Amino acid sequence: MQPLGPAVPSALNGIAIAGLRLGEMRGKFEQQSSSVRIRQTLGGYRIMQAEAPIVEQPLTRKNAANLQEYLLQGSILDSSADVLLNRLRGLCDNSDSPVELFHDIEQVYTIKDQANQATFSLRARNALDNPQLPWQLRYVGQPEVGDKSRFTICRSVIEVGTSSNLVTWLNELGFRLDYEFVAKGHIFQKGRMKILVQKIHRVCQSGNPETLEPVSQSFLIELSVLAPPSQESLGEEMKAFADQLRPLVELEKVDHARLHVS
Amino acid sequence: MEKEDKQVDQAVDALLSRTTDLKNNIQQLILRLENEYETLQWPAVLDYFALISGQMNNLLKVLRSDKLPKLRNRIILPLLVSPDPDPDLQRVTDGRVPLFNHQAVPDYLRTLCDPEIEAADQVILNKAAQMNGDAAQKLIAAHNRICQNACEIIRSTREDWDVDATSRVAPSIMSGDTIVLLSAICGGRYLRGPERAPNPSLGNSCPKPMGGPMGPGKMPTATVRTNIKSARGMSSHPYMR
Amino acid sequence: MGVVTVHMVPCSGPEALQSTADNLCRMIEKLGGRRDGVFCVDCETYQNVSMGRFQHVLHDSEHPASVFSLLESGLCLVADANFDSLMNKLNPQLFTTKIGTKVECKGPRYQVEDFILKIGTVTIGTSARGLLVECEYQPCAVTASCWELMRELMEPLLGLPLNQPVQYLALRMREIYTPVDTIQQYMEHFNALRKSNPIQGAQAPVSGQIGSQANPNAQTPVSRA
Repeated sequence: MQPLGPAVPSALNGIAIAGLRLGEMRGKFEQQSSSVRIRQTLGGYRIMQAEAPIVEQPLTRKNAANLQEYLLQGSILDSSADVLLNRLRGLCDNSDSPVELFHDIEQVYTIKDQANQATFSLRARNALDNPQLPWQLRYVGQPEVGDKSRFTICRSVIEVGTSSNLVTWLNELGFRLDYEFVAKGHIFQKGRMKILVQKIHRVCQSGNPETLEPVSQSFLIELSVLAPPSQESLGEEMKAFADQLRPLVELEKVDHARLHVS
Repeated sequence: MEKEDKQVDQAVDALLSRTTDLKNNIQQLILRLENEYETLQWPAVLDYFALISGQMNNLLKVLRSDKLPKLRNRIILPLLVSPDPDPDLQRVTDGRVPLFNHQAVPDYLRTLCDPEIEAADQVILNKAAQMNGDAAQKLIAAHNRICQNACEIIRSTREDWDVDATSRVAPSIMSGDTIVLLSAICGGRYLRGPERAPNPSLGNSCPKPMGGPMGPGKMPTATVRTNIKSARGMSSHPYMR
Repeated sequence: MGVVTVHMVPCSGPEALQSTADNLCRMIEKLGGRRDGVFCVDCETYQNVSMGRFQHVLHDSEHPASVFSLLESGLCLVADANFDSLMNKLNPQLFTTKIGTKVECKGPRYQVEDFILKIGTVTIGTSARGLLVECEYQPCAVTASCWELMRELMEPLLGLPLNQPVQYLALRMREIYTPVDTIQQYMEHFNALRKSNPIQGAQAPVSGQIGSQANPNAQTPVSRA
């Protein structure tokens, strides 16, 4: 794969064009599509890759695999966070490379459905430490209720990488900013599990992501996997990992219906 | 009679195999103790003992099994006793028993205890026979009491040790913080307006500038300016361009 | 990514679409073009239930992992392929689609040295409306530097003089070209073709076959300078 000509602005474009020749035009999105995705969503793909599942789904246009997010959450006091980070570093993959940090701002936009007064919300996430990365638009469904035997929360999630005019696009469609927060922390990966240890800050002045104030004195820890539905062995895997973090952290299935949503 | 013989043979084979295993384990332990006594750790020795105890259990299980005929009714008679070393015997016993003479017979074919031990046993049995019922009950009760006390002491000490171990580690979780954080992320609570998360040590002073390119001296003016701007243009969202 | 210009091919009527397309293909092959598969650009329109605003969702086979969302104001969001599943989720509460308004431009794709030429038949719903030619000059990224070259290639194919580039490009001659510009050009052509008269009883072209009735569909001239 070589760059095509002297006037090509960046080598990346050249690589992608060669890659495009390989795949069929419509309907077959195989492993090649992941390499094309690197170009299409503008340069560095680091955080997106960490958040996407390792399991590649063959995507056909209308039948994109509806991914479910299996989730466990917990918190740990600031004072004990270092111990947890060390333990995670030992347990997770790539323990010899430096821990990956992230500093993102997440905004939640809602639109009122005039027909039945329900609100619909979408989440827009942007990496503040690396503005070149694509924005992430996320739809998060309600957690599946009723299955008491399942150890983890299970909810459907759609993640879309977008260009940086996402907020304008949302506003033009009628979505309005509901609330926002900044999440700063570390991200670990073990197999297909993703572990986030993050401090949640509120943005004191809207528009100025420098003015931060922590929401509480704890770090929020999330253990999540994005996978196709009905994968019960995943629950066992996550449970085993959660057990290894006891008694520092109790990762559990928090009932989101109990949260007071204002 | 033949059936019994066969049973005896089978029993002897089973006993033999178990005994051989046991013998091998003991031999390994002895070897390690002799050769590696400098580097040997107590847990390793304990492992060996556990193994040996397991083997003994197996042996006893065979002995207690129902299929075993009454071995008690059978006796072993020495047929030939000679003072000369016997090479076959040496081979079979791995050199442990070189000859089968008059001294070896009582040691290896003994069915009763040593005479000294028999005498001591007899003394205790006489004493027990002479004691009447009440004194015996009192002794039994005292014995039980002592055992209970010992168990109690062990249990309480163990609990103390456990509590010490956990209390030395500072509590790492504040219950309720998970709910606070998740309410913030999922529902926006504590993120809109002046409501703050319930936390006494966190002051109500906001904003706390988190560094950034501006120096600390310039921060207050910058925030004042932004305040005025946001107050003026409330309808235009900062991100709407 | 090179520079792309999209032109409408003058065509005397819907029944002539197929023959014009074949002619063009033959001309390209004479130029030394090597056929390199097919391409497809399609557009679906969604309407916001509460506000009535339109949103066009376009896919381009040249960028298979991307989905483009074009709003009425001209804002174009580039998203990855999961955007379609998101739209499925939003539909039908927030958005509705009108059946039969899907626009597709399909056809063969040729590689001629540094150029990629695509001949696409545009169908709206099931009726064929027009013919578009896309020319991409790959090595260059700024329109001003290569417009003359592309003009030289396109004029004989289209049979029309191209004095100025299409209006969309004319405003962006010195800027770096991006895939969004291609999509915007296609959208302009689709909008123009939508406004032209629908053909009654026309069949959907299957691999270039058109079985439509006569209803002369006057094609608008190519360059909208």
